[in-house]
Amino acid sequence: MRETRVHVRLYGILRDRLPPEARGEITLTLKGDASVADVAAWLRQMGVKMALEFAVNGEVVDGDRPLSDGDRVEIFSPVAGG
Amino acid sequence: MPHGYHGQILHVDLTTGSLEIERPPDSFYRFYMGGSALGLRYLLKHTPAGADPLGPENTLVLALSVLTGAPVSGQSRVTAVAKSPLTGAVGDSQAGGFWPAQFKFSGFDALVIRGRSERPVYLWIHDGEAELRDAAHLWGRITGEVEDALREELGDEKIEVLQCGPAGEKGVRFAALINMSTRANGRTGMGAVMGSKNLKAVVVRGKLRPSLADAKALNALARRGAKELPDSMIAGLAKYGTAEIVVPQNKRGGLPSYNWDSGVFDGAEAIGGERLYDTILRERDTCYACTVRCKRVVEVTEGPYRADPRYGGPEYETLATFGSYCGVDNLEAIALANQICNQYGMDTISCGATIAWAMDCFENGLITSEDTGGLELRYGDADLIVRLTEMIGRREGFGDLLAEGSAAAARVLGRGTEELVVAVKGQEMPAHMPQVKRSLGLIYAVNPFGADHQSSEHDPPYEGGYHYYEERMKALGLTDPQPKYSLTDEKVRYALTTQYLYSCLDSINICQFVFGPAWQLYGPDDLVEMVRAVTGWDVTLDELMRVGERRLNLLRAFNAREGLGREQDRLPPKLWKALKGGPTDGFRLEPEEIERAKDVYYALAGWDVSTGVPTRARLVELGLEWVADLLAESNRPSD
Repeated sequence: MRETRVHVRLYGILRDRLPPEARGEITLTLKGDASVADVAAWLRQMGVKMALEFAVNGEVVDGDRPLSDGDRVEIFSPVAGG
Repeated sequence: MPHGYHGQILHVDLTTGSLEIERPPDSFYRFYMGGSALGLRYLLKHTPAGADPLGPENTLVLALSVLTGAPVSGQSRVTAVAKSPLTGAVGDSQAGGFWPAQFKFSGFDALVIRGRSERPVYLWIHDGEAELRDAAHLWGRITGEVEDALREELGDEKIEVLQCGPAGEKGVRFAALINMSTRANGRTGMGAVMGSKNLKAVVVRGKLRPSLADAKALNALARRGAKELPDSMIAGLAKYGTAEIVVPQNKRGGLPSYNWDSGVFDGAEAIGGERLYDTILRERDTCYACTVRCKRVVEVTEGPYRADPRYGGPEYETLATFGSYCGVDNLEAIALANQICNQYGMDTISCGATIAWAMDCFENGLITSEDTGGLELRYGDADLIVRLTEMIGRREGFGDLLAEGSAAAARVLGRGTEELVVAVKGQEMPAHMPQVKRSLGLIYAVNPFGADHQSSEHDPPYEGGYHYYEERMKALGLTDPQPKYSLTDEKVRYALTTQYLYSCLDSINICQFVFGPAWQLYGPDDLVEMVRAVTGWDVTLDELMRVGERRLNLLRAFNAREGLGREQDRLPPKLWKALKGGPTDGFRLEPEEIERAKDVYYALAGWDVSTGVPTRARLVELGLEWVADLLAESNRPSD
């Protein structure tokens, strides 16, 4: 089966899902036709319930955006105010 | 005995030195509930039209609410209202901390300050008593020193101090009221009003805690919030503070940069919440009884920008205005600029934004070093933001002109500098971009006290984002998500509806990170539950929304009496120009889009569409016939 390796960076509170030394960064290997939804599913499996926003290669995208090998996926929890 | 409040309002006339206690009936409290709505009632009654904001005729009200001091998150807040020296319109600003709860425990629900003292004084309020005391020895001193001196003088470590810093004494137009040396009633220049009255500080302490109608229900609500916090959308606020949103804003192209020429900043990660957490964060801080703990405390012990943890840490707005607005990616310099603002008592939004405007003018050759006393105002200069902030606080050199705010300074300089001002009604715009969140374009324009990012919900939940929070939005009658980047008639209705809710929150003095219409820890139904548990009143959401409507109409009526209406509801010209770079490259607002939205908004609000003034019928419907009469008497009739 085809595999897609993507580099994931988590921001804000999502960073806590990874060990501190990872500083929110991890490389994931996804099987089949991968999309941002697969990365979201990986986070959901870790118990993340909050709303998420995604950027791929620096561009904010929808949750069903297809992913290619080597893509850089950034994930953050949207917050208003400040 | 009422639950949640004392039924006592303290009136101070600084001209005569008299102190009086008013005991309004319960119906008064249920009608206004506190905060902004209550404060505006006194401001309108006591301050004549055309009053000098820095003269004795101006009235400064510090108002708590019927909820302040109750043991639940988000309630320890104080609203300050007065005529604004920054805008000439109504001034209104909120702050958290421990001062609000401690003021409640001192035995009062609000403080109405009139006149001007002949010499510097401070007000000492404790256990139902109040006295004016000499403050000559405190005059000119920074906030931390004043706190130390007052603790020693009063022999009590647990007093809380709300004060105007040296900036307020010197009439910096965006001077703030500071409590705990870290919390600011930042916006609209309330610190300058207090300074103009020769009132240095309001010091509070007490043990008079009002009873609760249903402590068990309130405790259950508080426990539920604490339990749900880790999986809520404000979990990041708890850990990283508001600084958490620097990077997401930048990713969306919504981080105002280079005085609003762009929505992206290459240095965003260097000044973001994660970097702050990994480098200069010393500890988290909170307001009285709040489980969220969103306040940061930072410390820098080496290098040119040493920052003292006593003065807290920068919020998102501060990181943006001193950072991306100015092209500065030095987190430590921003932390020091924030500290200086807290020491001198200045609004970090207006201060940073005014410096960014001056840099923009200089970069474009509209001002030169001859105007600035030899300073080269270049984007990215970390030393400069620190230096100028201190000069503004002291009103020294070029800082004296910047202390007037960007709009007034541009009027003095001319030469096209006005075109680069990013302000509404003279108040500098906060760091949320209407080009990206279109409803904010409307709210920034029409908001009575100038551009404000905490007067309505932002667009994402209107567009089905943030998980939408369907049940919460439905409770407000908002059931039909609108297209992204739109400003449809329906989105205007969303904006006005949430503005009413936020107006209610600013009247019952509730933190908008904790309670709100979408992503906050608690929703509208929880708000009703809280008010019932504290007061015992059988309130409904409709009744609370009416309080919000009342407050918004009071704000608007104050402006109408000053001759301010639709003409002043104007966005700055920069917003019509295309943004440069990033995902929002080319984004801009259309003047026609905003004018059309204003038509819809005024009509929905029950205001005259051509003038933007509340109609008599609308004011009467809200129980504000006396306000309609006031407008008629001042030849600014509402019809």
